[in-house]
Amino acid sequence: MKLKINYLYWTCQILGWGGYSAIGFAITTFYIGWHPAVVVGFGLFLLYSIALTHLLRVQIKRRGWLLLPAVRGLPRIFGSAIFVGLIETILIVTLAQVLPGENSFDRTAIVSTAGGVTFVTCTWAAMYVGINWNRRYRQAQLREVQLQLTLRQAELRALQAQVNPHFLFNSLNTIRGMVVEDPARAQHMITSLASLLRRALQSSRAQLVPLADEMDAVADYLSLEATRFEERLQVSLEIDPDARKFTVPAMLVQTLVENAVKHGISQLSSGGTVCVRGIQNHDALVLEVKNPGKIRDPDPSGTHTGLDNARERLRLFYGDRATLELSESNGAVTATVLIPGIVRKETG
Amino acid sequence: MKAILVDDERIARQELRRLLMAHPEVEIAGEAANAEEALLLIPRTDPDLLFLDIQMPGMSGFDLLDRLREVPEVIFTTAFDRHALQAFDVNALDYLLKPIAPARLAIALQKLEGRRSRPKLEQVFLRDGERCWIVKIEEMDLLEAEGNYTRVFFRKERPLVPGSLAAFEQRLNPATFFRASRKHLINLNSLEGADWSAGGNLVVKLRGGHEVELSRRQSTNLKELLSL
Repeated sequence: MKLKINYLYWTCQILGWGGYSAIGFAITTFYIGWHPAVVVGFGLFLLYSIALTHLLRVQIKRRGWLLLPAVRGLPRIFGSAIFVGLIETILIVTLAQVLPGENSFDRTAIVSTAGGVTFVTCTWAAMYVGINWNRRYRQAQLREVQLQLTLRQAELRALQAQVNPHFLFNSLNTIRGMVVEDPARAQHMITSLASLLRRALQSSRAQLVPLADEMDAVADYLSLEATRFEERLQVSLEIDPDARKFTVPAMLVQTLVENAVKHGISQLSSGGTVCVRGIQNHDALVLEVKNPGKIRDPDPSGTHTGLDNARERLRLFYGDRATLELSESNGAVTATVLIPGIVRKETG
Repeated sequence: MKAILVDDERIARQELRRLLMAHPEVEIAGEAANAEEALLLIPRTDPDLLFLDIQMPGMSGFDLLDRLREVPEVIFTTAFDRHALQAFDVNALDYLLKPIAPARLAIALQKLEGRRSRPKLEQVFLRDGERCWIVKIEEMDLLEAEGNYTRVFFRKERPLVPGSLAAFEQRLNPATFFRASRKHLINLNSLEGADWSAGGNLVVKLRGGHEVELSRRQSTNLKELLSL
């Protein structure tokens, strides 16, 4: 990329100034005839023009003039371009006097030379700015497309995660067994599963929901899993009334609880308790999901995708102000979410 | 036919039990809630058939098969395990998706009945990375040492599995499997021909097109063995 742009820049420099010098040389020769001094003069002109405008470019880049707003950047760039034009004029006039031959400039010639050369350096600056702006515009467009693509992929992943097939089919299998063992329990499970599925089909992951609603879904989910795992899964839900008013990204707590069951409970023959706690701390909501177990390295089948997904959604909604940490102590893993209170919805 | 149910969920085992009531030929010899329990139960009951869940606490169903010297017939039962189902060679095994459809269970048991009417063959479980096979010992043509691993040639497969060649040699019947050289163990039943190398050693041709050159000493031994 960098190589390609340098290549473009140097091609423009050499062809531009080369062409300009060649035309100037041809016209001068046409009027005053062949003189070695003219050859030397235009040769030097080519070299110092490239050198001076290159210095101008170095200056523009070093001082970041292109990054300034146009009102502040353009005067600096074109001011410098005029300055370069004046230096060039001085060099042209001085060299014309030093070099042998009758090339002396009168006042009018100096003024017209200054005008012409300054016009050329300003044109150079205009082209330089134009090419750079065009390039930046295209890069911005590319970033936009990439962003859209990332969002689309996230949506797709979210859709797949909404109804976890492993959970769905295990639940159906448990219900099938319960129909014989405990029909009332089976009915209750079907109701819970129906409301979970309805929520998954209706809600979009790209929205904030009251924590109270999210906890209803979590309770449905955990009651289904508790039936499946029997005494291996105990559940403890403690949400402060204050905390229930906060809004959270849809499916956030559910994702954490699913992780707690998948990586904690289902890995232990003796099972354990999944604790969900929600409290208000100053203006922030603190959510904790705790399960027995260990933090394991991510395995290739995608252990941490649920967690990554939750982090990504937190970042989309709250930027860096929300955090999601995973910690392990005394044989238990705790996922702690901190959500700032700005989106707190006052009810009543 | 003696069967064992291995699943970490009691309700799932209970459900399978109820489904198997329609198949009186299947006698349920025991249940295990995890792989460790199953490892104790299997030698005690010597089952013909395992109903095996894949995802279980501690050891998975695959880990369990890895630990067995001899693998009974296996029917995997799983709710949804795209990853695992892709992993194994479905032709060699059967699997049932939970909730299990009674008709599908009947088909699996029928398939098994057909297999069991032939003389029983011993089989082993082989795993190479994410792929798994249950292989009849008779199907193995050649085993080749690769350090602490062994490459097993059977059908058109050639997985590299953990375990030294010596360990495999101990497990296999010496009347069938012949140590051709330091690096090779060949199945004598898959022998298709033999020739002499320029160096005067025996070169055997095996089913599947494999050729193995025997060491000098083993050339003599094999010649004697075959002329007997």
